[in-house]
Amino acid sequence: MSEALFIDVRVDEPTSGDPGLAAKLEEVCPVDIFRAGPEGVEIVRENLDECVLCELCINAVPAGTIRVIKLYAPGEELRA
Amino acid sequence: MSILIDERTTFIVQGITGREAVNLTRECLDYGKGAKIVGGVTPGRLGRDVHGVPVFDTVAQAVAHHGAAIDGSVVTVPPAFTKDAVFEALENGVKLVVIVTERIPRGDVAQMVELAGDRGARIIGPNCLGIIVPDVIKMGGIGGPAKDAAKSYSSGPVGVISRSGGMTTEMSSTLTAAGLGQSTAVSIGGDAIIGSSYAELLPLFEADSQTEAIVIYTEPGGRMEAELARYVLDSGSRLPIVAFMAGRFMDEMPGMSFGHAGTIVEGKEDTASEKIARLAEAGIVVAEEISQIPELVRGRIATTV
Repeated sequence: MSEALFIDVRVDEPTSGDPGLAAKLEEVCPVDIFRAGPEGVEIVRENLDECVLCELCINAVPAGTIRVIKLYAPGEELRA
Repeated sequence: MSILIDERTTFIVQGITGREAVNLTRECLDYGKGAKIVGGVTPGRLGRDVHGVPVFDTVAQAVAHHGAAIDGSVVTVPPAFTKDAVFEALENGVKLVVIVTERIPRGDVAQMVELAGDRGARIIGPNCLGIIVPDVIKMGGIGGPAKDAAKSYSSGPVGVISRSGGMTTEMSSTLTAAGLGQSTAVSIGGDAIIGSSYAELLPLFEADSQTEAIVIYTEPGGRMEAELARYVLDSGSRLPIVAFMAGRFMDEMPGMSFGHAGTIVEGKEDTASEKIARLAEAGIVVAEEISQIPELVRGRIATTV
């Protein structure tokens, strides 16, 4: 369960282990929410509230791979 | 013509009894044709006045006293109360909210921007100095006291958009000194999440017959410039754009923080040189020094006439 107050991020399970995807997400996020770990994409939970809603992560990967959940607007997700 | 505001615009000042708001109110009343500030709001201060502007406890009271819809609000309340103040303005029909306050929690800003969108309203800021239509009206602290603003800003064909409040005046003052006035200047705010970006304001300038060119102040980091470049390419904008980018030295100093909140948190890979190249691809010329801006603007206007 996320302790974030602003947004939460979900990564599509089947592809989250892809090292290329992990590297791409680590590269594009300006506030370091993603880290490329040995198991693939890791979410740096302490950075979730630093999100600036830039949509770069969503735009960098195939549609549906990343979901950014707006905790401030229940039931809504960030759309590219 | 102008964008966003004109001499008929009515607005309130939320948090009007605070020190900064008292000064801002005086400045707006004194500038140009005199702003139509129809009320101020500070809970618990009903019945007072600030420079002759009546103070109310709520926005609803201000609207009732005015007897008609109020066009805008300048919000100067402390960060913890800003979201409630903006929601109150939007729920009472205000369509233009200028948020001066800085250090507002990011989640609060996101909610304010979402609600404004739902209500068909526009937010300028947060962490901005507002809007000025030279010789006519200013909404916010932009340009400072009326006599100073009158020196820096003059009416003319250039639209100005800036992430920095101070640089809005610096660039406009440079244009004025060179004989190039401004149609409207907008300080959009330096925070990571803001209500109106370059690309969101450009269509308004496009529709303004007075505006013949745009000058923007930008910094490394962030996606707003890429968004603007994409808009220009997709829309075939009629307006030549000259940009001034501060912080070019950051390319030589990886990891260096510079500028406003939006820049500090977004400055990972969006280097100044990459951003300049992206702007250039869209035909946007980037001045290396502020002093170059007037001639670049003049040259660009000449080639589009």
